[in-house]
Amino acid sequence: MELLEIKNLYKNYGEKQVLKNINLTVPRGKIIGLLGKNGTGKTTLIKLINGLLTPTEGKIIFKGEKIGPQSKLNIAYLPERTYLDKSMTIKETLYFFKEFYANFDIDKAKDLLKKLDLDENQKIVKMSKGMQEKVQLVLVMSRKAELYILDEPLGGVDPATRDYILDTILTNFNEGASIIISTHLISDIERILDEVIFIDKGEIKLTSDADELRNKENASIDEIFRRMFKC
Amino acid sequence: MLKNLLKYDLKWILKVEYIWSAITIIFAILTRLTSFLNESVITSIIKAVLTSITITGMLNVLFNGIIRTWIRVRNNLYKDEAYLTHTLPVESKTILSSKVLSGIITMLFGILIITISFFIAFYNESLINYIKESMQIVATTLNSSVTKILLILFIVLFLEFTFILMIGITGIIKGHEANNGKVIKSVLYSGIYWLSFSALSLLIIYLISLANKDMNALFTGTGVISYSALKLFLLLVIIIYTIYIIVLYFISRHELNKGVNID
Repeated sequence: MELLEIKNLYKNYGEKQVLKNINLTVPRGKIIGLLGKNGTGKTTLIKLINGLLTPTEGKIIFKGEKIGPQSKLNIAYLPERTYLDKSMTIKETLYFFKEFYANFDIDKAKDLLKKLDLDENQKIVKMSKGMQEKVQLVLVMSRKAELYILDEPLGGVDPATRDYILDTILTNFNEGASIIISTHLISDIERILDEVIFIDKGEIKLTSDADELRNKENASIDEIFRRMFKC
Repeated sequence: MLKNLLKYDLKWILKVEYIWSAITIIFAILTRLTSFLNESVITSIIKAVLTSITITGMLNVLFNGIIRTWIRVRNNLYKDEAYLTHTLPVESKTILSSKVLSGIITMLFGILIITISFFIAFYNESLINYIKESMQIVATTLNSSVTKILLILFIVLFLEFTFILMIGITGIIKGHEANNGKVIKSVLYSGIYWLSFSALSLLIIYLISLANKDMNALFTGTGVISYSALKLFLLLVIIIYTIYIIVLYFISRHELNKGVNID
């Protein structure tokens, strides 16, 4: 059984069709790049997988079941936005995650936060947006999930922070789990990808093994992407 | 999971409620202290001002709890925090139940603060005797007891406010199904629900009055209504509000089960 299956998925906003006939399977133990320009449907697809949007048509199946509490326990999602309750402290947020996610490793989270030099008693509201995003990344990567979905984790951050984020992802994800990383900053992540999905205008244009694609086209994923979606 | 959700919802809603409650009680104490001052124009003005603030504070404690619950529903289910709420391993009906229960608990807390503030500010033997006597007259007229009357009044008021709470929650959930103008549509849906249910209540009472002579006096007479008519009327109010609250809960639950569309 595949980890995630998406069948004939459509999403419309009124008359506007945002996703068209998406068919996709995500196997276990792979790092998959969901690659596309801004506004091509990456976030919409991710939000649909996480139950934040309702499909107009089609099915999303996680381990043979529809999206529900069980799948939400096993999918760790890092959105583009900062979603934490700003009135809480970091410590309260850690206990919030511990209470709701049985697979949340609080010791690991505390350890990762220590490396960031963050005071656990600090209020979220008093932290910069960048720091809040780092805390969110720590919270997500401290879960022993089966699928990690990271939406633009490198968006709007400096190169040093990008390295920190990639390092945190690679050294902390649950063994045997899969990761879907959505980004338009392909060159930064292509070295870690096992598979790639190119998405444009709400349609999947290509799915391939990353190495196979590189060998076939004799170019980097970034170059192939630029060639394919040249404006 | 309901227990956990309820804990966080109550913590968020009550945080501000505690502050308003403390302010109201402080003003209730100040109002009480004015009764120890010598009578003068200035002390009467001070007394009147403090009494007004205390009464406003008491009303604010009740309505603030309801409004905070609505804000919590909107923030938690449809704003940035929704990205966390809807990815928790919890069923949507549990999320809804937590919001409704936290609203009801906050309301009961508000009622408690109002009662305490009232007694601090206005308690005196002659006032209590006056209330007792008035209630006794009503109870005797209605062939009932003071305790019973107070209990029925409390139930009716509690159901009325729970109904208002549910109207808002259901309006927010329904309004946020739209792709744009979500706030306006939430207000609009709340208004439509309130008007529809109020008109339906009137219709139900009218239809029952056609078959009940005592109740008919509510629509045709101008004098004091009979004990049996009032008893039936209060019973109807309790049944109707209870049904409405349950119906509104299930509408909200159904809409949430259909799925959300978070911006």
